[in-house]
This record gives sequence, structure tokens and C-alpha cells, in this order.
Amino acid sequence: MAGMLAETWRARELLLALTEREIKTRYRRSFLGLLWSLLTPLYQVLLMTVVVKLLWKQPDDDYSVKFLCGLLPWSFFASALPTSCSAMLRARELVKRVRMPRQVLPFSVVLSCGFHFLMSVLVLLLILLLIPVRFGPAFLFLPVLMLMELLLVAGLSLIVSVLHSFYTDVEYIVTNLIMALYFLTPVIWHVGEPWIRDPEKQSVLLYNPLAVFCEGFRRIIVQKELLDPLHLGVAAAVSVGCFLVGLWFFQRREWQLPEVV
Amino acid sequence: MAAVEVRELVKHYRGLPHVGRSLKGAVIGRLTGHNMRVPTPGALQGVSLSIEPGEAVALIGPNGSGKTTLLGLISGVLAPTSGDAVAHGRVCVLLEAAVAFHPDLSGGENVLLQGMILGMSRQEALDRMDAIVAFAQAEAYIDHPVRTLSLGQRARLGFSVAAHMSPDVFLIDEVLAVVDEEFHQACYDRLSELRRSGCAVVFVSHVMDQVRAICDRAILLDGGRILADGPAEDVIRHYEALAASHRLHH
Repeated sequence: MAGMLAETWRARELLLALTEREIKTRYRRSFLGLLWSLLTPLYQVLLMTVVVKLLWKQPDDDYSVKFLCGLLPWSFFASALPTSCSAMLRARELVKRVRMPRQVLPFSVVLSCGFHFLMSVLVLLLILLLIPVRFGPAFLFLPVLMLMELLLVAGLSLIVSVLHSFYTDVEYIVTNLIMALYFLTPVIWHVGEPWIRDPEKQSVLLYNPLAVFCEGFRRIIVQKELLDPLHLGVAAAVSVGCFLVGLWFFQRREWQLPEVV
Repeated sequence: MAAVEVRELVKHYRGLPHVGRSLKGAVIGRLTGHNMRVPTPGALQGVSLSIEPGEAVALIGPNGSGKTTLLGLISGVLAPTSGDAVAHGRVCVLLEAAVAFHPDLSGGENVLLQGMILGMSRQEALDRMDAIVAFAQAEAYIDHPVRTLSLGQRARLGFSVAAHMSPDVFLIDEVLAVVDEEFHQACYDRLSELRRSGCAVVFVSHVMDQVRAICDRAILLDGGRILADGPAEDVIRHYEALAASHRLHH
């Protein structure tokens, strides 16, 4: 696995060039371009706030902010994973013909989604600056959460991109699992809701690393505090573990890719 | 030292021929107890050869005879079932530009990316950019998105990138078909130039005139075995006789 990391490091220029291509081509032919990756979450927040206020008469005044905080880490996960499923198949000719470090294909998808994630977080911080909101020292932990999520998503992207090359059902399975995870993860709700006042239940929910990212963002931005070290530690361990398992799995199966794509 | 050495090379593919390697195939294979290791087109059954630096060798043979598989094994993309294939130095594969280029990026952006995919550093690719563009005679349209270029223009750019890689082993798989006559001659000249500097060329083609123009040695593959290996003209005659007898049988 160390060899694969070293190989990825040697191919960093290629990885960055492919990431740049993903970012450039995603919106190249659209009028608003990169703005879309900022408008989409804002639009989702507006829509969700209206729906929640009308339908459930949610009393929470800062629902919009709370939702947005959870939405950004979630969108990164939910956009990067299904797209990286087909990373090998979309580059079929390269996989079949060229000897290259193939992990850069899913990694470039993850990094380009990570770029949009970073941009949207910066815009969120800019909005907070304009409101203005007091920034606490807890904000310094935002990049740590983002890096943890990057490791988790990168590890998973290696696994799904290989599995999908063997079995094209994988993309559908992943998409459907993500839909279920959307409700299991505190994106449209948050862990302090009246129906989960029980600390035990809250604790169980937060063993899900995605919940830690979404709720962690929310705690830092709204309450200016961190989640407890236990849940942060579990999420960090799962993320690193996922990354290592991803490397191991990729290394074991990669040689068969040119025969199956 | 030979540029390419292949010894007792065997390559089998796994999977059922009619469904391929898929979830469905895996389930059907398990249920019917069908052996997943069945002979499939393109497999190699024990191939040995050696190519010297500066040599240009054509691989010819009917479809499914294993030409592309052999190329994949030489480049190290495929893993052999047994035996080994070694290429010494920098191996470069000529890709069809149409599939490897991104339609929305400009010619220049694609050239840069393609060069890096083939193994150049960013700096090397930037340094050679002018030479690549000049060779492809693409100055007029290098900033246009590739989707606006003709197939021939893309192929020129693709060949030009690969030809400026300074490879030690240059692999070409049937991609010179779309460019015009004039550029063919430029390609042939560039290939001889590469050969003089010690680069070995392995060329897969069904167009015998191209084989004659580029290679002095040819290898005839059929059913994953070498049927003939020798001077291009003799092997081509052998191949044409084989093709004629195949036609008689069908």
C-alpha cells in the first residue's frame, strides 16, 4: 500500500491535470459555469426551508443555516461516490491501452467534487462574515473534518470504481444506498431534534462517520463547539480504515481492470 | 539487449463468452457449474519472440488471433497467465485521439493532458508543445475545442503527441487509418527517424500497404500462436494464403 501511495505521489501532476479537466469540463458549456455549484445548494436550502415550514410548521428559526451546514458535507459524499463508480468505464480506452497509475481516475473525480465542496464552504463562511457571525476557535476544526471526509470518500471511490467495472449493477446499488443514507444521516434533521432527546440514541446515530461530518459542521458553525472526542475519534478511525482498505482492495484487483472494462 | 523480449507467453481470459464477466455471468456460471476459464478470442497459447532496438515489426493475423492481447502484454497493461513479456525503456502506445481526447477542451489542453497520461511530466509536455503542434500542422486550430476538429485533425494531434514521447518501444494498434495520404508520409518519416535513434516499433494493422511501408519484419498470429515470423513480404504472402483458405472453409 505504501508503494501505491508513492506511485500516486509520483503521478501527482497527472492527478491534478485530470482534476482540472473534470472541473473545467463540468460547466464549460453552461452560461453560469462554476456558479452552479454554489447556486444549487442555496436553491436546495430555500426549497427545503419552505417545505419544512409549510408542511411541518417547524419552529426552528435557524433551520436554513442548520440544513445548509449538513448539506455541504453530504453533497460532497453524494456527488463524488456515484460519479466515481464509472471512473474506469468512462476512461475505458486508457485503462485498456495505457500503463498508468489507474487510481488517479477515481481520485480525480473525488478531488474535483472536493474542490466544489471547498468552494461552497468558502461561500458559506463568506455569508457568515457578512451577517456577521462570531467565529470561534472551533472553526479551525472544519478543515480537519473535511480532510477526514476526503479520506473516507477516496477509499470508497477506489472500491466502487473497481467493483463497478466488474459488475455494472454497483452504480445502482450505490445510488440507492445513498438515498437511504440521506435520511439516516442528519442532513434534513439535526441530532438535537425533540424526538431524539435521549443521549443514548444520539450517540448511536453519531457512530456513522457521515453523521459526524454533517453534525460536526453544524455544531461548529451554529453552536461554535466540537462534537465529543469519542465520535470524532470513531469517524477518524473509520475514514483512515476505509482509505487503507480501499488501497488494499484496489491493489489486489487492479490488474484485471483492462480485461473487464 | 533486445528492446522487447517475450518468452512462452500464455494469456487466458476469464468469463463466459456470451455474457462476459458480469454479475449475471458470475451467477449463471455458478449455477450451471460452467468453467469460467474457457478459451476466448484473443487468448495467447505460448508465444516467444524478441525485438531488437530500431526494428519495426508488424503483427498481422485474422481478428481474434491475439494481436492486441500481445500488444497489451508487451506494454504491461495486461498481466500474463504464464510466461513473461518485458519491454526495456519507455513504452509508448499510440491511442486513437478521438477516444482519448476530451471534446470540450482545446487541442492544446488535450495535447498537454495526453502527454502526461502517456508518461511525460508537465514541464516536458509544455517544452515539446510547439514541436507537437508544428508536426501536426495544427497551429490554426490548436485553441479550438476538439469537438470542432475533424477526425483526421484529431488523429494528427494524437500521433504527434505519441511521436514526441521519445519512446524506446512504440506500439501502434491500427490507428493510422483515418489520416490523409500526406500525413501518412509524415508519420512514416517520423517512424524511421525514431527507429534510427534506436526505438523499436510494433505495428498492428490489417492494411498490408502500411505494413510494407513501415516494417521489414512481420509476425503472423493465428489462434494465439505464431504461424510465421520473418521478412514482411514472405509473411504477408503466407497470411494472404491463409486468409484465402479461411474463405474457402466458410
